[in-house]
Amino acid sequence: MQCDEAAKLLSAHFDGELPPPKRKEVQEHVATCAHCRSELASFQRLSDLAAALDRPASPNVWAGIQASLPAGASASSGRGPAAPGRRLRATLVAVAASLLLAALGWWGVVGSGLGRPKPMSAQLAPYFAEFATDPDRAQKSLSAAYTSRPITFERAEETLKFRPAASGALPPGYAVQSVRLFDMPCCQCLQTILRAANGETVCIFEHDGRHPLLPSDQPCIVADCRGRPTTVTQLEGRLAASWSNGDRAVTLAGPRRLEDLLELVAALEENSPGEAEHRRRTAPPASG
Amino acid sequence: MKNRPAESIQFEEERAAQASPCAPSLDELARACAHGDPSAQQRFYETLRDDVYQVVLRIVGRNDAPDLLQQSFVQAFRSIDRFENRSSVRTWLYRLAVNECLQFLRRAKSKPVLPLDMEPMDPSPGHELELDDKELLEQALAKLEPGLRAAFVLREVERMTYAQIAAALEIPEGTVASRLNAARRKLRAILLDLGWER
Repeated sequence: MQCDEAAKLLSAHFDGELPPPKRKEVQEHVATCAHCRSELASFQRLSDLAAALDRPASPNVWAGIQASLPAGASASSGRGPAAPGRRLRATLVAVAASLLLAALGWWGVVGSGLGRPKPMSAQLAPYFAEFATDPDRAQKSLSAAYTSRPITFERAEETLKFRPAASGALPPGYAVQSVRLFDMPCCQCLQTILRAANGETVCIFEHDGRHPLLPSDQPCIVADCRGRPTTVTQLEGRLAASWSNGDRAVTLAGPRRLEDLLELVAALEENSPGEAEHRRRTAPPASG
Repeated sequence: MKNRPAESIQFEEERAAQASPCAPSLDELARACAHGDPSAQQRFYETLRDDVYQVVLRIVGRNDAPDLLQQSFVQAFRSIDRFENRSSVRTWLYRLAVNECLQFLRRAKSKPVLPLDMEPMDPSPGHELELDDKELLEQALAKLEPGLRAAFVLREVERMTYAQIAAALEIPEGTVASRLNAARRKLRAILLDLGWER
């Protein structure tokens, strides 16, 4: 076998993809050709390096996938319209399943699980778990999972009808790094990221108060922060707090020390007096 | 000199099934997904997400890999009812993922792919970045053209056979062989330029 023919077959030979007669021919050529032997050796080295490459864990993008699919369906929602027969069949299957579940008396139990998205606390559990050890990576995963856009505090106040908690004075050493409005399954959620002078990251979520964000299965205490009950829990060495402000809930995570957490909570509450006060402050002056 | 036999993804799936005989097969999960079963969809995703992620990560780089991972599964669930069993479910999913990645890279032609852990070089004098061979390979992969990169990743990272790679990339098996030849030779040249000692 000539060298140029053997060269074309080297990868297939290296990967064991050649039929036996061809493999034998290439082997005989390689035995007498230093150039081809050198090439095979470099293929082996590349293969060993590739086998040693890190395999970083995949981010959890399930929430984003769910949000991108029509509720309760995946097939027949692609690039073209579904065949009518397929839709009818899917409808009949769904009706039959409903009747069966109702007949077995499981509707009240199973209905709470099937077809409804997981609670926000369950959906954001991976974010908070990752945030505790790698806030930047947690933020990337969150941005991949949910649609969001940067927003100013002024625009957020116009949109959400409350003054964002971090829009006023912050304790010394904290600065606003980013402000984003997330479209979550439950509601629109304003996220503010603060950076502390010591390099720590703090995240603040302001959202519909009916949808708590922190995991409910973690031990917690309820602290009195300037008269406002504040639930405090621990996330892998960092602290998190949540409290209600009218219909709005505020969730904060990041500080490692309780006194820093409570100082932040107090400052945020001072900045954000709640919707009723907001309406009072922004109402047009009464005409005389 | 090792002469490794071509490994089979099918064999891996059989091994996995033996390890957990009660777990549904990928084919069963795919059928359930085609009927819109949300728990099957999530299980399908959880079963395959890590492997798909390694592929998209090496093709598009770390910044865009999460988006492409999500897009790949969304496209999969939208079209899983049209999966015709001409290849394994895993190969079919890899094809979707690779297509998403290549389309993405075509749209973003001028953007360089960031290797996994590389930070921009500090131009200040005296700052020299010492790279080990793995990091050199990541840098070299980022410089390889996408079609060759995809073939190399599917062979060397995912250990797919030529038949599976051909199905995933929708090219003839002969083209798989020539792309791997080209990928390996170009990678070697790039690595040598980067200071690799072979």
